[in-house]
Amino acid sequence: MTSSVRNRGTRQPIGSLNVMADSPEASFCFVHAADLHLDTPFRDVHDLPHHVAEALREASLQAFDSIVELALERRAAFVVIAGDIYDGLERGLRAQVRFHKGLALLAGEGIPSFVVHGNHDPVSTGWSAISSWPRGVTIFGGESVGLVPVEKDGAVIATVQGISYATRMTTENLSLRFRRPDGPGVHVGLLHCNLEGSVDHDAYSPCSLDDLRSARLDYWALGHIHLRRVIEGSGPGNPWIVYPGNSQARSPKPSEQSAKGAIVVHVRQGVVDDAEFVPCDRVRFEEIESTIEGVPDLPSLVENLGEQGAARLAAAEGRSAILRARLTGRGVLHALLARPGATDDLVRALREETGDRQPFCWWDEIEDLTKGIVDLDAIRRRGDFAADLVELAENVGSNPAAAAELAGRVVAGAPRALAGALDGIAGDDDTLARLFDEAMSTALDAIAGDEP
Amino acid sequence: MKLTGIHVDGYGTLADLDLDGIAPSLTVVYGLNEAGKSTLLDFVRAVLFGFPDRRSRQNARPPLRGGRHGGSLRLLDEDGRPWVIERHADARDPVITGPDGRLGGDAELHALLGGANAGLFRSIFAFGLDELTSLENLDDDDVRDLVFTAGVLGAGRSATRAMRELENRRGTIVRQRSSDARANQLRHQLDDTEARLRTTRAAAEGYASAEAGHRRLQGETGTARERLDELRRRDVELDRLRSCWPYWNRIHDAEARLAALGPPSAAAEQLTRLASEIRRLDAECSAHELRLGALRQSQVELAGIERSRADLVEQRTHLEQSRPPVPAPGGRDRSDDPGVAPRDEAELRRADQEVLLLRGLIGQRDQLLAAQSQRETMERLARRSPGVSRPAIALVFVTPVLIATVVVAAFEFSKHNAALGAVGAVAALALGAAAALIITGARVGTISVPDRADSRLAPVDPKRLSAEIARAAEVLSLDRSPALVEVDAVATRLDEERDERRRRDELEHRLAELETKIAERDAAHRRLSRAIEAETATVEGFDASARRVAAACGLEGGESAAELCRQLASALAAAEQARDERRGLKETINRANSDLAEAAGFGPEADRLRDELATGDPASWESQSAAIKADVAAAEAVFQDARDAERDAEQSLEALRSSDEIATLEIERAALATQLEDALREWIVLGLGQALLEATFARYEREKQPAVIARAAELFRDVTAGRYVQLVAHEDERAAHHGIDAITARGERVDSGSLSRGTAEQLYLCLRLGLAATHAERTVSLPFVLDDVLVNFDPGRVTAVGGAIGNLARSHQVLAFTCHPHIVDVFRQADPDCTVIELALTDTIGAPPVA
Repeated sequence: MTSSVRNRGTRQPIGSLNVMADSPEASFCFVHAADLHLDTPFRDVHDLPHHVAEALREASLQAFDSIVELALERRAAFVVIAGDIYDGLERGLRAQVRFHKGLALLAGEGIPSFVVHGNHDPVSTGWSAISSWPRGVTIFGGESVGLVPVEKDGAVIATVQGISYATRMTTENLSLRFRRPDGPGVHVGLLHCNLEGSVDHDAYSPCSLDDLRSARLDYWALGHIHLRRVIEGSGPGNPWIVYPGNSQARSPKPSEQSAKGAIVVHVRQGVVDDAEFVPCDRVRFEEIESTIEGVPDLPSLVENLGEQGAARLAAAEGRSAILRARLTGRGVLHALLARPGATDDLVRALREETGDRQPFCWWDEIEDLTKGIVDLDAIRRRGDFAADLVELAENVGSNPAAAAELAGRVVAGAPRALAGALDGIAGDDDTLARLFDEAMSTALDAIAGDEP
Repeated sequence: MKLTGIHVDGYGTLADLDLDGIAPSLTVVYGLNEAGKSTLLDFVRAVLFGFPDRRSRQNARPPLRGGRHGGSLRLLDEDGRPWVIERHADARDPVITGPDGRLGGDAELHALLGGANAGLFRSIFAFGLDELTSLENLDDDDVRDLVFTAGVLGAGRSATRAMRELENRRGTIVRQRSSDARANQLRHQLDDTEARLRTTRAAAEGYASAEAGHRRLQGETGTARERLDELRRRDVELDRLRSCWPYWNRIHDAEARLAALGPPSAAAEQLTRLASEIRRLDAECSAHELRLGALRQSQVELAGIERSRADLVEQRTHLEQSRPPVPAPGGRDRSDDPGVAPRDEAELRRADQEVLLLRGLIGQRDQLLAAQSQRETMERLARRSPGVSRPAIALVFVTPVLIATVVVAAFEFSKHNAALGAVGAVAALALGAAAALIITGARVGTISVPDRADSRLAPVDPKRLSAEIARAAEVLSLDRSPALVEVDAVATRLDEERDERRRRDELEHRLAELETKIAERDAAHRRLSRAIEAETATVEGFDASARRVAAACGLEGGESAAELCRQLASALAAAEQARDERRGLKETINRANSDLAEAAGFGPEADRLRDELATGDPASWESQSAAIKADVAAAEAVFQDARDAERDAEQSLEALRSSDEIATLEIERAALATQLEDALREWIVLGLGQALLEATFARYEREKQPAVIARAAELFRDVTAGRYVQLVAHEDERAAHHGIDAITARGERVDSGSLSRGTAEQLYLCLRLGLAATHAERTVSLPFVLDDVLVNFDPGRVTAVGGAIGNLARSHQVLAFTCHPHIVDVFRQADPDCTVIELALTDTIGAPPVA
């Protein structure tokens, strides 16, 4: 999905931009990217064949390459990258070398780049294979907000200010340290932060819209939130606030689905005028939700899913897609799907249909959330063992404490080596309730299987 | 069925024992150890169900104190009718005597026992302490039916199977100690991947140090290269020194020789300047000398010519003096005047021809005359000899004439032509011979004379012939009809005239020759004189030039020009040789300099080389070169090693830079982590399902146990004073294994095997009590025979159990054997109306009941 937010309003130049309004340097573009997570470990993916694993392995690096190419192609005045260049403290050498190479390429073409580190790659931790950066590359430190003017043909066209995370646990509202300085050009703030407490992301450097607006900058180049978000600016005190999202999706999570890339910020007559999203990703993660209601048999289900998968692949504009299906609803297929290995067989059938064509369409997993055509009320009325089971499951499942206690007892039987992996699987009440729901279905299915 | 009496004929230690007065409710049989209580219990079992055979491990208890092995039981059926069952070991079947004295069989016995078999009776109704504590003793099918076939276990069996299934499925995912389970495997793989990831990361993090190491190696390589370059440079320098050394030497030698030669003198320069002139003079010198010689020769030759001419003039004079005078022109008769100049050759040839013609004409005339005479003769002959042809006759006459004519002609011809004279003579001879032959032939008459001979001769006009003769004779100054002799005389004169003519011509010829020679001498003299004149000028010019040049070159003297030229040439050669040598030396120097420059190059290095060449120490260079080549080889090895190490480091760095192993491992780890999470999630779901099944089952067990268990649980709760509130029977999904668990008041589930011995005995006793009651309800009531089973109970439990048994005895016959008086008391306390029978140690039985 390509998103382009156009500035339809007419804005007056701010500050010294009046001086620049007539100069040719007043119109330019710059590229804003964030959350590259280079050489990122992908999450929630299952056993992958070679061609898919290879594509994923290269995806984040190639996405960064695309950003560099984008900047070169658009003759961007500069590039800003708002944190989480690397995924973790154990930042990969290949990622560092690739990042250095990309920025060197930009620098070689006279395009300066500005980088801040985020919670995934704070300044104080990790290791660096890069002993020096090319001239024109600014890596903002974590001590204070750095401020660098950008010149073009001898005239200052923009000033970029930014600050990196000194440590991972940066909970200070760093946005408050930003202030618009005197000086011409567009003022860009580069920050990795959690705006308005996004619940899907850790609350690093939390800030509010007012905090950002109070700095009176023209453009906030933010990072951290992987879901793209553009808050259109409209003049002094109301800056453009943009999360470009990550450059390459890294898991099937909802926030990681659909197109990923970078923002090309168009400055016309000294005013930020447009934030154009340009997809740079190489592999898309897509989730398909499909009900089994009315689906008569498994071949029909495979056909349905296959059609939806093909549509998602077509929408990926030549990119490969990793698909995950979530099967819901009640239907006759539930019993078939509930059999051990049934969803695996279904995935295999879909994979066989798609083959290993390029761009590929890889079915990663099918989550079976279907329910059988079981009348729980009828079971309850039977007063038999199954009725007792349903009653008990519902009672326990609706009682988080009891459910947690029972889950705890179940988990307690695991070998110590698996204890860590078990942590968090039944972490929250919703998950636990869903687990109990599945457990009840499983138990009922097990009893039903014994019936003549 | 109720026992009313027992009679033992002989069984173990018992002999002829008779117990009577057994109460229909509780009867306590008291006896000390070895009184025979257990024997009595076995006796009851044996009479009812048969003696154990020899294959059985049970003791058949043969009579130890006499009596027939066996005995009888007296009993009442459910209807109160008396029966006697008598069984002896020596009898095949028991003897069953009914109320009316009618003997019965197995069917009656089976009915009396309510279908119970030996196992059931032994398990539930008649047991000792040893048999009490084992649940296996309840494994009899009938017992199991009673205990485990109630409704809960139907559902329980499904639940158990379901739980087992879930457990099995969980077991495929997670196990405590198994690497086969999926999650265990995934965890193992994940650990492995993470370990590899750590290793790879550690290697990647060593990039900086590797890079530093690479830089260090680069430095080492650079140092090694510098060292190698220096050595190689010196090596090359030494090679150059050695190769330059000959050039260097050549230059110096040439310069020394050039210095020795000094600069060219003025005379040498003059010579050089006039070199072409000198060279021309020198070149012309030989020609000059030749010319000079030739001039002298010409002068001699000129004198010779002059002398020769004088000789010729003198010869001419002599010849002219000897020449006859030239006659005056006009008709002198030659024949008369010998001084008359002879006719010339043409005139003589014409005269000869006239002579010849005249001779011929005269001959023809004569022949004609002769022929005329002959014809006349022939005609006469012919007339006399008609056989001979006319031609032949003619030929005979003609032939000699012809021959003679030919011979004469040939002779005349040969005279004028000596070369052909011989040939002519031969031809004439041949012709003569031929003519003679013809004539001979004719004479012999073989040759016929043609008639036409006459005809050929016939046309000659004698007049004309005469005229011809006259004309010829006139030419020859003869008479008109001369004779042949006159003609011959003329011919002789002509020959003489010809000889004169020839001598005169020869003299003239010699004079002419002399004139010619004189003229030639004159011409030669003129020519030679002119040549001498010209050569003399040339020689004199050359001489002047030579002297001029010699004077210019400082050569003076009266030598000849040739000598001067030779001196000049020699001086020039010397000057040029010196110049050429000088030039050659300079060329040598230049060439050597060029070679040196080429070998040494330019710039500071070359300057240094030249400086070192100036020191001139080739021997040192040789030794240095030999040493430095070894150093170069060593330095090359060092450099190669350093460069290899640097390349290895570079490759390692590049491998690190381009390595996607971390990313690959990350993806692998992510996939494994996801699979592990999925597996564990499934494991948790299965576990929760299993837990739900277990919890439901537990509740079901609590609330829906069989009547036996419910009754036994009630008894057990009473016996344990409420410590255990419930009993739960369970079995596996195939009903192959059973168990009974006690549920504490706190809900804890305790397997019977985990209970204390006493409590377990109480549990099993309660279970048997319940079973006995249930059996009674279903079929018949059988006597409940206990052999001192309360001995392990604490006092409180003993009382409680006693009370329970007392309660049972209200509806069920109980025979309780004990050796403990306090237990007798307990029973009495539980049932004051109980009957107590004391079993004495003596052989005599029949002691009265204890009051």
